Amino acid sequence: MLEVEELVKSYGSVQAVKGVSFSVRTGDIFTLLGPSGCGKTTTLQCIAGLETPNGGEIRMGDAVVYSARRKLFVPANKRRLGMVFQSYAIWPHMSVFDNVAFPLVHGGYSLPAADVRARVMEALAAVKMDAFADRPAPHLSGGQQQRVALARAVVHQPKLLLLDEPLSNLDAKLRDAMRVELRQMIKALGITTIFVTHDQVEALSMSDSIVLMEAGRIVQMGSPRDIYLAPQSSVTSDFMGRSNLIPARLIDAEAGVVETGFGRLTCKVSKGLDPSGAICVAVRPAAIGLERPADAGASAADLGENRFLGRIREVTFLGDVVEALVEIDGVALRASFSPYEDHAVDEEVVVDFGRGRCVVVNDDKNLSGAA
Amino acid sequence: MAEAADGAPTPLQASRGAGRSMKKPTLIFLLGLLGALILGPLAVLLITSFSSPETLFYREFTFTFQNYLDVATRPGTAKLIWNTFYYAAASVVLGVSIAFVLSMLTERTDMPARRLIRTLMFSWMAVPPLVFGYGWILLINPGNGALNVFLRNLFGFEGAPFSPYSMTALIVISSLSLVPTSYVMISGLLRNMDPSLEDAGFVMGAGRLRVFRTVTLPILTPGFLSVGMFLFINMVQTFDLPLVLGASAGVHVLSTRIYLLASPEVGLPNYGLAGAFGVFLLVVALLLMVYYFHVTRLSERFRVVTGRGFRPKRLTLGVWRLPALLFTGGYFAVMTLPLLILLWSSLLPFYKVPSLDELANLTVGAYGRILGDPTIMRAIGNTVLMVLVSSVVVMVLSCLISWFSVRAQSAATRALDVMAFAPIAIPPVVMAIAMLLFFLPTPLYGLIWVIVIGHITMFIAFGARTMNGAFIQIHKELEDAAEISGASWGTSLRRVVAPLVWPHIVNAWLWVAAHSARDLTFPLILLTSSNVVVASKIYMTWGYPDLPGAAALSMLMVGALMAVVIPIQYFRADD
Repeated sequence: MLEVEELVKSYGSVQAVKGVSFSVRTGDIFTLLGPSGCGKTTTLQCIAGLETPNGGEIRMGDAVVYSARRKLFVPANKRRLGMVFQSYAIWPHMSVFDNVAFPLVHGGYSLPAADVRARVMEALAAVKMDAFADRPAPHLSGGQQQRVALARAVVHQPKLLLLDEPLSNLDAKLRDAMRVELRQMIKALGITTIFVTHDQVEALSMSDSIVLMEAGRIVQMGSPRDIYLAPQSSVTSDFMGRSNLIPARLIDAEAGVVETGFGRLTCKVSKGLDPSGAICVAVRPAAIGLERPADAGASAADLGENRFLGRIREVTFLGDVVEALVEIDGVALRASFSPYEDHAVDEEVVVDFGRGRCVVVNDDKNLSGAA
Repeated sequence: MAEAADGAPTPLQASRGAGRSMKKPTLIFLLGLLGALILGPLAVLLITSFSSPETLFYREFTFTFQNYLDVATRPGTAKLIWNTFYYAAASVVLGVSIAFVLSMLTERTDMPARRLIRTLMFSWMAVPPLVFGYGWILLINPGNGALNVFLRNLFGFEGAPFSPYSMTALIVISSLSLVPTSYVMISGLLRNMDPSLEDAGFVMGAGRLRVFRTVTLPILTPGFLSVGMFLFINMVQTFDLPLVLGASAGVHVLSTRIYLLASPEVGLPNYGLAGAFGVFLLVVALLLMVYYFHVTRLSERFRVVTGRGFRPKRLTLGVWRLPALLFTGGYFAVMTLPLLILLWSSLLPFYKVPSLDELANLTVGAYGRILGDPTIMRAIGNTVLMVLVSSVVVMVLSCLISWFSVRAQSAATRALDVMAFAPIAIPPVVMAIAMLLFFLPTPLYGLIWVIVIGHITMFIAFGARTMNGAFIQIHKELEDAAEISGASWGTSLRRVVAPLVWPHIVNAWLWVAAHSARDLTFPLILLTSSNVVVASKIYMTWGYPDLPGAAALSMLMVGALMAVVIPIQYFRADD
């Protein structure tokens, strides 16, 4: 449906997007994820036609909307897109109905008024706002504004729906509810959607496919599970929720054996690992198991593969989960356990690194702090 | 219905082909227009200043430095420059001081009638300085000035205690008429200052006065400096009051000297010398403007303007209520007196000092007489045409220029922005003479349209500044949403941008319309028998001399302007 090829956008001497390529399948919710300044919003603006790229090509279906080679640029108002903005951009001087009707009335369709009315009411019904059609736009809550913005973005049946951090202006509770609802509404409409966010929870819960960006480049592409469970670099691992990044030395790249500060670990090896580069082991706190030692005299060697003796240094009770700081041979790690388990500070524990749960990745940003 | 028979939505068919964007042609048009409007006349002015005196450059041009040598060697030049700077500085200091007290009272205390005071201050633009000056002449001229006569009768003074014909009187009267403008700017500064900065001072245990001295004043100082500089530049260029009051007293400033060289009462105009003086004044104004930008750049560092409307705590006046009211009342009384004496004069067949005995002789004869005068009817028609066309064109151009400079930043739009702002540094009297020289060889000379072109050129700076401020407040995504929805640039401007900034447009339009109506500089310098407007007609009638006629025409003009200005200002002067 959408293909972006070698997209480049610079502002003066600063390159915001440095040759980004991806393609989006029809009907997918496709997410551009990354920290602020990673180029995700600029990429979206280029797709929208609100920014003119400096290089590359953008195709929508059969139509080329931008091509540096062919010196072709279709302006935003000719691309027939729908977009929900971060600020919602609901026009305050119009009613809800007029806001939603705008693309039909001014988008160059020449529809009869009755047809406009029917389509607007249909779009409003889809977002459960049909009862508010005559209300002046400023008299809407944040969540209602967002629904209206979505109705306005889809009323003219665009080929592509663009969402620019649509949830970031909502309060935390509403955001949780809207996350689920937004996905349901979009899926019901069946529109191919590009979604931009800096929030990994939003990205994981809403997307069919995620592109993780950093500093104007794509770091990793894949399904939410892939991105979360099989990070290909320390950057991905660090950005997608908390991770322990343990500095390590590669012993056997085939078998995934590494030497860490506290001993040998056998891990999964990330796709495309560069064995000659610096590496580290990424382990999520939830992947680390804590057990009471069976008998106090057991030596480390008796524990088995990926199991070590450690001591709990700190316990933080968070409710849903309890976080612990565990030390193994001077290496501090974050682990989490269920609030129904009981571990105390200074307790000696067996730390279990599930074999499939540790991933060897390239430490491309020296995030693990290894020398 | 939108549903086809099988239940799938019917795809929408676009009925419009891919039209070309109007942005680029509009930008090129604006650049060309501003370039022609500003650079054309100034180039002619420059050429004239280098051509031999008492000839017209387009008939025969001989290059000479004679005019500049003349300016440099004339014995009066040093005095002229001193006068100009002294006059400007003294009026700004006095005017800003009064305005500061008044704006502190209305913005930061529980002073009664705040909204009324704000409305009156914002409405003062309805009173042309020319009319204000004539009012003062009637009040304090040494012969039969009403105030002088009263004081003589009351205290038995010999001679006249006051006279309008001196540098001091010119400064005092100019500073009074500068107060409303200063008030508008200073109260804006006060309104935009975040009061939590002051609150922080109170919380730390500082007293009212100490907070004012250590927090409020330092924060506002850069703002004051830039307001003061801006007004100073304005006063260096000002023309009306120095002409009406100073010229009769033999007190000249650069602007009046330039005018008298270009339109002498006897003899031929000396355009060459006027041009050289004009270029000199232009350079002075430009240097001041560069300095102004330097100062305001510094004040950016202190930026506490957040665009939010703040509601600061108001100080309770208590026992100071009476002095505050007396001060404010006194100021308004002094501002109203000249208008009252003009009203009185317009109601008598011949000027008499106001007294109860004369009440029986009051008549509206002068009004009937002037309204029956075809030349005055023509002047009124010209004025309406001039005001409407120049204010509407200014606003359309300003909106477009500001849109480009706020939304589409590039080298071209920056050039546009600078060109739109440049006229602030061009003294009106210099621009008027440049326009005169530019249009003299053309058939357009003598038409009201030349004045309209002059006003458009001069007032675009104000319009574009105001609209820049307005557009910056409009979130860009509101426009992006329109574009994504398929709307053309024009549709987005008309349906989304214009309605959102409409209050700013009305405001700026009102300012331009009032200033176009009250301006004397362009109508006087470009005066011919066919392009007389009300302002120039008042000037001519006064000099004729037909005092009741001039007074009646003044009152009609002020009344008409107030009828438009006051209601609009009242509705926006929220407390």
